[in-house]
Amino acid sequence: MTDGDTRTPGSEQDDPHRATPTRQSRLSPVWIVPLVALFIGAWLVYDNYSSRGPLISLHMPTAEGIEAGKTLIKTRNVEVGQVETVRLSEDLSGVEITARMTPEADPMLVEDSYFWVVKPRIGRGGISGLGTVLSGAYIQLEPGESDVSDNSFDVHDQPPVASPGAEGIRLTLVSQTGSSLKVADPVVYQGINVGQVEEAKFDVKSQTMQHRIFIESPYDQLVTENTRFWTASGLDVSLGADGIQVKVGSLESLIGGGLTFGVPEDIPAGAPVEADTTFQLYTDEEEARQGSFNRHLDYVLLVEDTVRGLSKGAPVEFRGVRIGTVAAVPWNFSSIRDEQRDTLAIPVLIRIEPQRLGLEMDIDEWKTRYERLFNAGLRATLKSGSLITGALFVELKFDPALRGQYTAETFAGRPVFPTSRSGLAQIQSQVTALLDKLNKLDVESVLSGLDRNLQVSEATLNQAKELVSHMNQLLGSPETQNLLGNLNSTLQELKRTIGGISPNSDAYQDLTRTLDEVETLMRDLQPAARKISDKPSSLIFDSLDTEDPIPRAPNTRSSQ
Amino acid sequence: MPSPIHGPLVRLRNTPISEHPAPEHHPTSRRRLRACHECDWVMALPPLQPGQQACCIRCGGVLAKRNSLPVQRCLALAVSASIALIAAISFPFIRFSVRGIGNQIEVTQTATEMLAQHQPIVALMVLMAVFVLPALYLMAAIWVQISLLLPHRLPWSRTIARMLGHITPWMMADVFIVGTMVSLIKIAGLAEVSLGVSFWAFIAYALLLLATTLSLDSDWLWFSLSGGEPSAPEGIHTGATAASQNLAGCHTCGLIGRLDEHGHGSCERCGEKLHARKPRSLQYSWALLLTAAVLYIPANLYPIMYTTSLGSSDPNTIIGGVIYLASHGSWPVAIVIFVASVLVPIGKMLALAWLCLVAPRAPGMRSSTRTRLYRLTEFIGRWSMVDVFVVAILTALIRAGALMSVSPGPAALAFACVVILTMVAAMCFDPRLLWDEVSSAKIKGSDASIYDNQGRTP
Ligand SMILES: [Zn+2]
Ligand SMILES: [Zn+2]
Repeated sequence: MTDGDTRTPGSEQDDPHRATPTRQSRLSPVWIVPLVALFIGAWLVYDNYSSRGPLISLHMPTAEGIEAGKTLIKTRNVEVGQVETVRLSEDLSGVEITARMTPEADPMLVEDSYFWVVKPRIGRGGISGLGTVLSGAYIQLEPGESDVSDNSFDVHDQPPVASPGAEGIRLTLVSQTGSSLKVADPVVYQGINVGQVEEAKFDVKSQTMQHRIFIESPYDQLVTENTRFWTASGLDVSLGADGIQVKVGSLESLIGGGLTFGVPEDIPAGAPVEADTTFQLYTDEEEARQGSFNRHLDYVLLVEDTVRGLSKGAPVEFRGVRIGTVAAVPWNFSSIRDEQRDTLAIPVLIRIEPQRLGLEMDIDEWKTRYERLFNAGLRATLKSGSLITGALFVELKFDPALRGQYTAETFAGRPVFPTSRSGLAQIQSQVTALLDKLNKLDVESVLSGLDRNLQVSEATLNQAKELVSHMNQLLGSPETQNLLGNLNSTLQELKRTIGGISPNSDAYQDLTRTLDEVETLMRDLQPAARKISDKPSSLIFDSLDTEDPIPRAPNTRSSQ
Repeated sequence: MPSPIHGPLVRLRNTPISEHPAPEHHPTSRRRLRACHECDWVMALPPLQPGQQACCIRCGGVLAKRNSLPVQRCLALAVSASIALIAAISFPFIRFSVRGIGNQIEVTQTATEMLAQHQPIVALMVLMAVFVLPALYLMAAIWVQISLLLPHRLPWSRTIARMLGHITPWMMADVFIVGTMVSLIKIAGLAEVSLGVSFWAFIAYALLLLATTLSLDSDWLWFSLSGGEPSAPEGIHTGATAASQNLAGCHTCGLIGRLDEHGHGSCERCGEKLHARKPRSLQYSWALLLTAAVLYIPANLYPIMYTTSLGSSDPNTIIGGVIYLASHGSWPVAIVIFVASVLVPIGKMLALAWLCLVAPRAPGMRSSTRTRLYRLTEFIGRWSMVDVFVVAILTALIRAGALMSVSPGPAALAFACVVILTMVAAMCFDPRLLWDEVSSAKIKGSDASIYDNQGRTP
């Protein structure tokens, strides 16, 4: 019944007794249902095709965590594409990934768009990408700002550094020693992440590490002319003349590191810096602080003792106050020394840093002042700072005996700081002299005298022995025994007499009463005594109730 | 090939029934008579060329058609369809994955999953309409066609052949494909979908099944099966209704048989029951229509399915699904669903109700137009199953737990019942009732005047 030709019968054969033969129609109406299915299928294909975005190719060194047909590409956590195929690149040097993007992702596919893989990562900026433990890694797309579209990109391993449009300041840090800083390490200021390292490269020509760092706004204002940068290592053990110092940073910095900055105390911050200023990168906070004394007097010590234990950075102290730093040990060892000097004296370069004392004075003025002090007997000696580590430091002290015995000399162009031998060396020579004296003593005559003395003593002892035996005889006689009995009865009488002043006796009662009275009197006198103590004037003036004293506020005038 | 059907040919004059029927040159042959199923008009069948069909002179309904090579073509198509069906049920149908959690189903799981979701009636409907009945049909067709090729008829050939016509309207493999397409569109945006081998096999199966039903030449089938056609009862007048002569045309084999005084009888060739008019046709239709109308209310008010996405469950009504598709830009699919799930059931119920209403009364519309309306309601009835199939497919396919899953709602059963009930109501309705007024009250008019109610002997 679903089949039929609804054409009315042909009019030329209107015979009511005979059915009309007609051709079967080519398409029966039953085909409508498959046609509808076909139509829907075509729509499905069209819809699918029209909703397809561009195909892009991505290059990666390794496809770790990337799965064809599963791994998504996201921007701000919105899905914008999906990885379709993963295969090795033609030269086998990496992985070629094709990904189908959504149509709305098209404007984001420009030259400077940045792709990176998001996976669980314990980084210097903390733990990130934990969500991908369950969902699997995905590729993040950071849209660029260029107008030139592109469909082939590199996938990076690290998130992008600050986007080009971010507000902040970019600086260059130069360090001599190879630091462990890497790209994306954080720049921390007092525990807050304020930026990151964008670039780290070794400049072969100048043999220095150069880091480009970015400090985001508003923290960029913290960077001023006198700001010092240093690497924030998590664990810092230093063995110096001050003993062992252990500094443990936060757990995060223990794992990672990063760098931090600050303005040394006692130094004005100065004006904010321009972008692209170059700073020195110090290895630690201490070095950064030392490095801040930019004006100093250089002297050479010519040490005739051992310099074992003396190291660069050791303090130069005057009566315990640090005024300088050892700059090099040894320094220019091969330079020619003065003839009258020990040819093997070890030259040590020290820096006197007047800024440590906070005195703003001209360097030349300091120089003449030190000349005067040398004349007054100022000498440098090496002194042991720590018995455990054996580290030495330079101590300056006045030796009155050397007053006026200074002759100026130079070593390799630097003035020589007069030295005296170190304390240990002095003790050593004194002990040697003592032993020499002991060696020279006439011991044998003393010993023979001693022998004589001993013989005399023996005779004396024999006489004493006789005396004791006489005593024994005397004590053993009956008279002596009676003497003891008399003594005993005398003592008993004495005991009775003392019993007369026992607690029950009248004499004792009288004494107790007298003492009670004295005590009462003392108690009455006490307030008067206290008053006199608090306010001696009350003896003369009437006492007035005065207000409690109020502490005065300190002067709060702000300092520059 | 010709040998099994040579015997019957001997007895027939001027009615060459063979794979290549020879042109007949005796247009006045009235031996093969037919009563139109739709208007009851008795006519003589003209000789038919391959590719031709005989249409009712009064209502235009098809009385018989002739295909070229009817046995071989039908057998080949039925065998192909069976092979496609076996392929369709033994391979993965559709795969889907969302966020790496995937699932793949075989096509039969659309029925078994409904059973697992405590919808046994819907599961049965899907199973019967898409797999069991078509499989039975194909087996029956193969059986009967083989039987025709052999020198002796296989047992139960007539019973099986009679079954063919009854199964045909209930096979919905083609509608299932539309449902699959709609499901794909619904989930395409939510998850990754890939089609399995079975999907293409199923499409082949549905198309081949359709071609098989179209290629089945029942007139020729019965002629060959029974070894010819018994002569029509004596004294039949062509150009008059069968009922007026106490005759009735067989719905299965087309033969006209005589009825007893109560208007009942049975076909002498195929054994089918014959009625002057279907008994209590209007009552059945009305009752079923009313039931369907009542069920249509919950079918629209209750959710047809629940979609769970990331733990939150949302009910979806039929109309809600249409609005969802439309708002997501899938206008064509939204229209398909709207037509299939809203327009067709309502239109069908209204049309049938109107036909039931006007059938016993004086015609307000020309009977041929009404008959066309009736044919339309019968034809589009199966379409409405699209939404039920969509629910079955999505339920089976999307089973990713709390992440994303679909379960059938109470409206699925109600809606499936509406579809089945309206189909049965349309079958119960006897379209011959629409012509009774025309037959009895000699309508004067241009197109009615040519019919001679009295009839003439040839
Ligand atoms: Zn008719
Ligand atoms: Zn029959």
